[in-house]
Amino acid sequence: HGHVHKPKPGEEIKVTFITKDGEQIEVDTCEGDNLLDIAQANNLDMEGACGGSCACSTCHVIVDPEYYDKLEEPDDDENDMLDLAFGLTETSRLGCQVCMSKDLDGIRIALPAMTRNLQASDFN
Amino acid sequence: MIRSVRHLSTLRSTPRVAVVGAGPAGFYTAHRLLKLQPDTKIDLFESLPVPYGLARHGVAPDHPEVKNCQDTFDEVGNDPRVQFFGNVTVGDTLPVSKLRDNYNAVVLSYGTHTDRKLGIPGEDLPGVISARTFVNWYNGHPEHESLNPPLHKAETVTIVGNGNVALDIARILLSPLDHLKSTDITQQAYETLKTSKVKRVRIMARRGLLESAFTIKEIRELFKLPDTGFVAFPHTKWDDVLAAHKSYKRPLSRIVKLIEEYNLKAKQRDPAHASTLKQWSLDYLLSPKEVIANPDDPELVKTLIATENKLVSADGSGRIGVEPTGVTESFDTDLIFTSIGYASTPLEGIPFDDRKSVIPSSRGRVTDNGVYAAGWVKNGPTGVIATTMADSFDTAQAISDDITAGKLDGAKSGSDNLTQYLEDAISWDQWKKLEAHEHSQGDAAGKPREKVNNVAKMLEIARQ
Ligand SMILES: Cc1cc2nc3c(=O)[nH]c(=O)nc-3n(C[C@H](O)[C@H](O)[C@H](O)COP(=O)(O)OP(=O)(O)OC[C@H]3O[C@@H](n4cnc5c(N)ncnc54)[C@H](O)[C@@H]3O)c2cc1C
Ligand code: FES
Repeated sequence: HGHVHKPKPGEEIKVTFITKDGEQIEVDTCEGDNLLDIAQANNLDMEGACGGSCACSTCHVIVDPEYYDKLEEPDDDENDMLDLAFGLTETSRLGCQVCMSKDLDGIRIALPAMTRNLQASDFN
Repeated sequence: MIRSVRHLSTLRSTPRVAVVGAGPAGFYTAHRLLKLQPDTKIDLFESLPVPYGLARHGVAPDHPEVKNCQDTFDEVGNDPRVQFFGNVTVGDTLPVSKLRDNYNAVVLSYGTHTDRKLGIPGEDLPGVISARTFVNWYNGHPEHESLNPPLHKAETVTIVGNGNVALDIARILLSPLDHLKSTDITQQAYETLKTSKVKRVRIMARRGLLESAFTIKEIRELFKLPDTGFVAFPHTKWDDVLAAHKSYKRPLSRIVKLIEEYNLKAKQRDPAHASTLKQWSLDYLLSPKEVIANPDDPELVKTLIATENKLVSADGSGRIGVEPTGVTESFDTDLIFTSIGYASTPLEGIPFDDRKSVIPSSRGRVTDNGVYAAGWVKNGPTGVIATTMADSFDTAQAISDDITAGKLDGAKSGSDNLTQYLEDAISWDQWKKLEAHEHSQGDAAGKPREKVNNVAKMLEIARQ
């Protein structure tokens, strides 16, 4: 895992990340690269505790509903890990399992807060 | 602007942070804190000569992907702002008060060290083995290298508890050997498993199917094991629960649907074929009451007596509890593994909640003068590494906020002042030397590493 490719001029696939503070960051990506590697290469706050092997859920992202159906469906393994993600939504995916393709150009990806929401115990 | 920031940072002394316990919580707290406060210097104290905590000694050998978190831990260990002191037990070799005196912040991330007990007669028989002991043994934790469970004469095994640790044990006992051969399971455990006669594993829980503690990945792995068959639920009482899966929330609904699918398969299985398989079952609504010794073999047990439960939502909180129905059942079993939870132990001078067996804190703050907690010792022994990571990031944020607010100011000398306690410490480079040895031993056997499972040997190799 780990490395992203440099897109050839004219073949860039644009991805906009929305950080948990609401900041929007647009990056040019290359076909085949996955969202975990892309986010890490751009110093965005995304951990990949299992190194992109679909075994941890720390790379959870929320996909723009407009684009969600353009992605290949998650397999059982990915869904199993998604079930453990904080703040699971209808369009949640694991960043390490989503690879860029041409028809994803312009996709928007929200990075959820990594921690749980405040809980009663936090006020003890 | 830039100038004034520089000015401030030269005035302020470098925050020195001590982290107690080099497991996932310790490493993730350090990892995050270094990002939030790049000026910090962190000393990691670990009681074993080796780091990674349960990522090394808990996570099952056939889950190598989960252990990839060690790459991030290595980044932390290799960071020039971080020093590792292995073979140093805080509270024993090194008093925690010394850490409080010499550091701006002390993070307690020392995890769990004992087992919760069932509290029933017969629990202390040799044939009743705690999950922690068994898992430590197959994962090469030096404390339990000599366990050597008598699997060569055990056909029927009962696991009490149904969290992921219970399922890990069931899977290790039922897996074909070639699933384990090229993992980092210790050679010793592998040889013992080779002689295993285990054919029937019962996974017993106090509460019901909907209260199951395992997660879906782990139960799916069990269903998929070759030459192994799930035993269909004996009563029809679960049929309604299984059929209603659509009305449950997504994670539960997916688990129940999966169980329904395999329960149906099990019902339809040809009995002649079924009898050739190793078998396992999920036995719900049972609380162990007594273990009866095996009169012919003190290493094994004979019977587990359990009381049947019914579900009650006792306190209106929505939490489902159980009440005994008064009916008891007896199960013949050769060994029992108790997997009802790991437990933490207190450190002298640090607040401790005996009932929950955790260090109480508010978002990781244990005191208002520089003591913090992270991981299982803070939250109790539940959750996967992702949970521990998120929790550790919370603690790091609290420390960072306190540093920024000036609450932890003051020049501290950290480990420079503690040399007398650290004479026997293992450095990060020494650990890496030991690890290189483990890798080379592993290479020879076609596995990622062959763990050294004895402290004296670890020290000898690390210090060569
Ligand atoms: C059997 C088992 C299997 C698991 N499998 C998975 C899995 O497949 N996937 C997953 O995501 N999660 C898994 N987990 C959960 C994961 O291991 C935990 O979430 C995580 O390890 C908790 O981290 P921690 O740092 O709080 O505790 P620990 O990992 O226990 O680390 C604590 C460290 O502190 C050290 N220590 C203790 N006392 C002292 C002292 N006095 N001074 C100095 N050091 C001390 C210990 O030696 C240890 O290294 C599993 C857990 C268990 C028990
Ligand atoms: S990095 Fe672990 S699931 Fe994606």
